Amino acid sequence: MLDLYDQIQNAIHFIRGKWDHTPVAGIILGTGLGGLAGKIEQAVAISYEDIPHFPNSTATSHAGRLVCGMLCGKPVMAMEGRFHAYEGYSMKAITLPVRVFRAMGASLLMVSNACGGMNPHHKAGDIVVIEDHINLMSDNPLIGINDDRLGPRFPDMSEPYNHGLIQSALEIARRENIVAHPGVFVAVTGPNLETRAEYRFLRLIGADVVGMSTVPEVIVAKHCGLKAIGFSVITDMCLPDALEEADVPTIIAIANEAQPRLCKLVMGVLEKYEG
Amino acid sequence: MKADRFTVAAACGEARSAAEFIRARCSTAPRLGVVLGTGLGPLAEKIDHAFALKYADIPGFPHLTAPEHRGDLVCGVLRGCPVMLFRGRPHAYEGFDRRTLTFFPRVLHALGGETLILTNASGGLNLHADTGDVVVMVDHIDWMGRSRGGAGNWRLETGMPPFAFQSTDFQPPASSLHFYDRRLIQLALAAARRHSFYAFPGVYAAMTGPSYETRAEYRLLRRIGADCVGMSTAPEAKMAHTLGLKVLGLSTITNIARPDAPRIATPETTADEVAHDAADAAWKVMAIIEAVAAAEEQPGRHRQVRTTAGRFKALP
Repeated sequence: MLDLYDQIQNAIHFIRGKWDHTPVAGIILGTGLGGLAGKIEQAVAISYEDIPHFPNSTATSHAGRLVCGMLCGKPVMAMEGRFHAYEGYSMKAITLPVRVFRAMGASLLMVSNACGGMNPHHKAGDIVVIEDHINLMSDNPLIGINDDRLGPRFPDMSEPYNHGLIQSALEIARRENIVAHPGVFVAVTGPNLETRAEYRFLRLIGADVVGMSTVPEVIVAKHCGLKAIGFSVITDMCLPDALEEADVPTIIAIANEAQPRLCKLVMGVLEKYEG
Repeated sequence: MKADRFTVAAACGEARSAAEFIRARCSTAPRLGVVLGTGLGPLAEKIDHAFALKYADIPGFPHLTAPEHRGDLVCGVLRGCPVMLFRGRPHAYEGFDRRTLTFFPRVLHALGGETLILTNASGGLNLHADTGDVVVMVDHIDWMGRSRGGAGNWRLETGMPPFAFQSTDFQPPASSLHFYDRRLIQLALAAARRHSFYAFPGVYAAMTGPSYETRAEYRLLRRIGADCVGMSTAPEAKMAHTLGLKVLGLSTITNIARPDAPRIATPETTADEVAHDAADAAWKVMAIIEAVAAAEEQPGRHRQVRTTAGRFKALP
């Protein structure tokens, strides 16, 4: 388990060979949101399979490459396509890119995902700025012998998502007339969507949106000392007592339609960020 | 301890060989076993005729990685009762599977012990709880999730065969309604009153960790009925109960979860603080352990207990 440190070193050695900058932020782009990578200037794209120890992304609408370059005049690394637990990857593999961001010198992690909305006051297409999360993945990326070079044994989780950045994102949303809500994200393993009874349960325990990613990455961000901000695009409403069958093309269409709004928020936060 | 198949023979065999090793070095068979959690290690210094064995030297014992867990076994006498203290325990967040997590109760059972006290440090969820209070566990919520290995849960947790393959030596517990011994709970609460500190009966939620809970998770745990939350004890309690040991769970509250407090007022939880607060309240846990040891020592009670709770024959 202590070989994780060496894996990170190998990966950053390889990446530095292609792109020798110190990033301000690492960005993880979820379902249908890959378009932000297109806005990165002087981009160097590295395929995941070329980077030592990186797994290959298998999910639909995920490209599977690391795009490094300038966004809002700041050096960033963006993952176009992420790894999910339902693909069968270990939590350590899923979160390796976050540790690579940190080792490259980033101080901020920006995560986005597509999610199901359970709060009846929200609508499909709205953006949720993640305020807190519940881990129902019944796994944790930090299980195993702790490597003190990477972070503490028991990281605190009283503020997994940076409060200042959340406020900044909501302020930008108001200014740009984008519908955005602060909310609680619950992570499940998937890959099947939830039953009605499960949606009722998740709502009952205090979650506003549900998805199959993000939480492992944010736990690791907290472990290795990155500030984190998370955006969820509500791609379908999951109201257990009026549930409609989920349709993957519609979900991806809504994610694509929300993409410009999400880009504005991500770039707005990045522009204001002084880290 | 990484055999592929978790068979009854293997499970009993590994506990038995550890027991043989211990028996050859400690003169008295323990009647009471205590697993000492975070910050409680120094309690071992109160034991008479103490004799310590390093976990690393005992066959089958896990190699611990958690901070504040020393990893040695102390045999001795407390208030006239032969005891065995497990100073340091394996945790799920270290990557140990259920089989390793339940090793200590199996060793105690193989040595002929009757009672197991499980101690830990936890975060307080109950609105009335304060730092330094002791929760006498009446029940737990096992939310440790993953049972790695894939075989039936029952087998992984207990090392027992599924119901269909019971041998005469093994019977499943009558019910899981009382993992924690009713009489010991009362005895513990009475000891707290006698020593004038606050202890209350409560439900312990066992999470995998190692990250502490988020606010949203604290709210969830409070809503489903937990009074405190930690990262151990539940697997050990289940195993001990299954083996017919009487179990007492003592949880020291080392920090208070305040999910709804204004952000500015919520201090972060750190492992150092947890260890420090646990050490501060160690005397309370010790007072209860001593009370249990004194009660165990009475010979009349000893015999009575054998007939009511001894569902299992101790292994030869």
